[in-house]
Amino acid sequence: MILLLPGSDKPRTTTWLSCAAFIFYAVFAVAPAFSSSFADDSPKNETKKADPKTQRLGIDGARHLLDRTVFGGSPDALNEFAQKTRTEAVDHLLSTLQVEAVTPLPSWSQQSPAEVRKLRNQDRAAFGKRLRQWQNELRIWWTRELLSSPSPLTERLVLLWHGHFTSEMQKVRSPHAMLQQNILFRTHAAGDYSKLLHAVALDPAMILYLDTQKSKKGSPNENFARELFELFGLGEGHYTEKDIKEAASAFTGYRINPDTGKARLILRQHDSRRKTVLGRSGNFKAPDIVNSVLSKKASSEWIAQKFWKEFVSPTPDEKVVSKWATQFRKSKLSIRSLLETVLLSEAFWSQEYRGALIKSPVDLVIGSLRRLDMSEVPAGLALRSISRLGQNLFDPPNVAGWPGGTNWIDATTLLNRRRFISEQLPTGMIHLIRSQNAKSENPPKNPANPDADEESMNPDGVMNPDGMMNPDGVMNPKKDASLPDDTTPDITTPDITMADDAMQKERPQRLRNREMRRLRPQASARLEQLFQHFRQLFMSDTDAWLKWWLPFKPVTDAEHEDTGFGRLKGVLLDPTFQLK
Amino acid sequence: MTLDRRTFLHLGGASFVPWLIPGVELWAMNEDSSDKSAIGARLQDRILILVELQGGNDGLNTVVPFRNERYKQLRPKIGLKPKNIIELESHLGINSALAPLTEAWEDGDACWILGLGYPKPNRSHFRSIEIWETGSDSDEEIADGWLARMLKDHSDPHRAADGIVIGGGDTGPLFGNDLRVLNMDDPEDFSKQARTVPEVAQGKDARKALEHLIEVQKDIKKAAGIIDDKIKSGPNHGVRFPDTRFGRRCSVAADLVASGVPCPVIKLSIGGFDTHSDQLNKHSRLLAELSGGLSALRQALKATGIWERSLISTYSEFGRRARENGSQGTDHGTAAPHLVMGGAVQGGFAGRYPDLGKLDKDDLIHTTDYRRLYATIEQKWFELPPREDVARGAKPLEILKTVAKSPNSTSGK
Repeated sequence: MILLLPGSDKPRTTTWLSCAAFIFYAVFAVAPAFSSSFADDSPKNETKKADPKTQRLGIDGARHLLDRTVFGGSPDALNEFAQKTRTEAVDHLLSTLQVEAVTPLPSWSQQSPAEVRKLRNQDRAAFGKRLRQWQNELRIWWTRELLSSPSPLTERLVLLWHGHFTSEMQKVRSPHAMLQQNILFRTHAAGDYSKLLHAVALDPAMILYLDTQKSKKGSPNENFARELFELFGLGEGHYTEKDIKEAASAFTGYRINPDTGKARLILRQHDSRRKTVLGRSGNFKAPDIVNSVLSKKASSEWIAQKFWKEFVSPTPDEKVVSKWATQFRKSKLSIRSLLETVLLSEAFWSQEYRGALIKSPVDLVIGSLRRLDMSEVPAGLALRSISRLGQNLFDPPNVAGWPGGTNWIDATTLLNRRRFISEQLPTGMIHLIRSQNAKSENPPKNPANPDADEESMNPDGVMNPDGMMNPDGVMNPKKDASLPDDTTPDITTPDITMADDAMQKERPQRLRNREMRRLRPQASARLEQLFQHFRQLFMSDTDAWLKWWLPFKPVTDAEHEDTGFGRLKGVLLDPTFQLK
Repeated sequence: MTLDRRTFLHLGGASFVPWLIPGVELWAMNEDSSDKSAIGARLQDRILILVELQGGNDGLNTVVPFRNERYKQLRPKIGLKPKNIIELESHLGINSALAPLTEAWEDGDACWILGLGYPKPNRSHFRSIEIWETGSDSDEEIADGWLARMLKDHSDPHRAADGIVIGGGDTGPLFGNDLRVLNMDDPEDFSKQARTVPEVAQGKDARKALEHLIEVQKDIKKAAGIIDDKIKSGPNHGVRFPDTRFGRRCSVAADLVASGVPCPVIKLSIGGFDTHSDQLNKHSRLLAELSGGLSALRQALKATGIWERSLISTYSEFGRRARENGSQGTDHGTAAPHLVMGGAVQGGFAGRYPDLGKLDKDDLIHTTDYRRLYATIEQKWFELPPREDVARGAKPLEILKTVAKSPNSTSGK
């Protein structure tokens, strides 16, 4: 402190300035530096001189890679990846890619279009209810896959394509078509981009969503053609209004075959005249337009840019993107190859972009549950949490998909994100313990009607007053954020029993207050155990432990609480946990 | 407790600086409605309370054309009988479950706007509420809410928030344009949540994403601070609210408004209007809950002298099919009446009841574009310079007492 006193031979002003500088230093050196990356501790030249073939990822690098590709890693995965080089790690991730989901498809997915029509014609009101139930089961099905898939990288890509080649179930209505589209995205997730784009153009859900179904010779509907150029395939500035008009006429006459549910061309409704699109002329049909798009350089650049935004940062570096696009074209538009290019690029690993992305609700919810080894929670709970944070699976807000980035965070969603961590995670643990206990006991008395339990209607005094008490997952893509009024049977209460046992499990029972209270200590204990387990993995190295969770040093006093979950929670509640 | 308008002026005058004195007479003195500070003052001074009737409220059994033979034909089972109707004028009555609103009606504080809807009606809950909340045409998609567009050029850092959504439900008309919207069950719970949000000073090198997170955290803490202060020093309205879900939400709204929490819009919702079956019981229970809550809210705002500066308006995704269905209920329909209440409201009926003799496939044909309600709120209530993208050219309705004076004082300048 003596240093701070004026009185040396230097002029007073200088002394005060240096004092100020000293104070500044003292404060900022002691307080955690903002967004200072953990990697500051490791050799400075890591990113410049690192040889991807020999340099080990370390915990920080492993967390970065897994956060951005597979919703974050479990403790074991993290330790394993920390020992790998970049090339090894990326090779390993790519080797997990799948083309099929492991979660059994909902039972109704086997119905033929004719069977569905028959059901509809029998009783329209009942069919409406059934439709809503199926839509909900579809959401639960994908949430289960997101939670449990052995290849979360595949699901990450399916989600990417879902947000890019959007369709909203709200408009499409048919859960069968939306499921088919989801399957399509998985089949081509990391495959041949040109096959993907061709499949999307004639995908039944897309045909319904962007009105191709209504487009006919003489009155073409421009909806799909416009989005194919603007949002899906090229980006603005690479086509003209005339291109759209001409392309639209090439998409006339495509209809969903009522017998097969697949697209077919009805020639008499198709405008077969000669068209000029994107500088090429011919008697074009849908596949020709898709080929025209694919032949443009802008097409590969558009997708490369999409990958930058998905995996690196909100603002693409055009030079790098253009290099990726060249590479992408050389690989004959192999998505897997593009992904490999991205994940091995200096940009991806650059310290500059660490923590530059805000986790989506799926990232946060699925990622937290997977990391905490809680992926066995009923999928309905996870789905509801995701939806409360503003992301409705199968119902992006509009054709442009989720805007993402800072749009994810406002006062409401930020508080809901915090609630997810401090309230819904513990509640999820209670459900987990409960279902594990139930395995050895009798099944619940009245599984078909969770509302039968009168006590459960009165959820005051339980740890989560607002979210997890509702057992139904999401029925309503827009209204789900609110606790359903129990007088709203049509929207929020399923009145048809789920036939499938596996599905039933995904719709958590309403918990009795008494049971909540009884299981709460067990849940706390389990979370404490988890915490101890995590800490042991990193021995006493606090930094390593934090690195597993956060891209930066925490900006809050993250470890101030005493109990295990309190300390874990403190880390998860730090704003930097919202970043990846 | 009843007070006449003079008494409010008196009460209000004691606690507000002169230009904030509530009362319609003074509003006309705003010389230029496009003046920034005047706009700011109005947005600070006047409150809009929106009530979303979730599920699609049955207009025909809310405001009932009870003498109309067609009504009886269309509703043989669920048509309301005379004992269940409160006659308001010779041809129209309201469901007797709305009895708690009789006083507001008699005091001339309540206006029913008839036949609100839009062309090419969409009967999907999701799509139609999206249309209502964005203010779009039937076949057009707009990303942001109509209020978000109305308020986007009028942000004010002194507000606690641009909108508060009470008791769940989405931000709806307030969605988008970086509006600061809070979602709370009650202010105490919100403060409790906000207190757990850590203070973080802003570091210079924080990245954009982190910076945004920290900004939002600051917003939350600031809002909680303002709300806490106001609620603590707020007046006691002494009104007992019904112990229903909606009643409790109204009570929270009353606390926020009465204590002067600076926020121009509050959104409440009441669910369950999707009455496909057994409608008579369900619907009257809902209307009773609605009117009980609104009536208590009105009393509380009157008691605290804010009624003159409050405007309450209901909305819903659609009305219901004019012809009842086979399960003593009604299916998704089209146009419906909505209720606007407030001390500045010109009580009565506005617009024309849809012609029951001229239905479109058993559905009512709307008589008033729903965006006329928005134009009224934008141009007559908040007296904002009209934006093309808010009411989309729809004309305001003459349902507020200031209507005659304000435009003159604007154009006269």
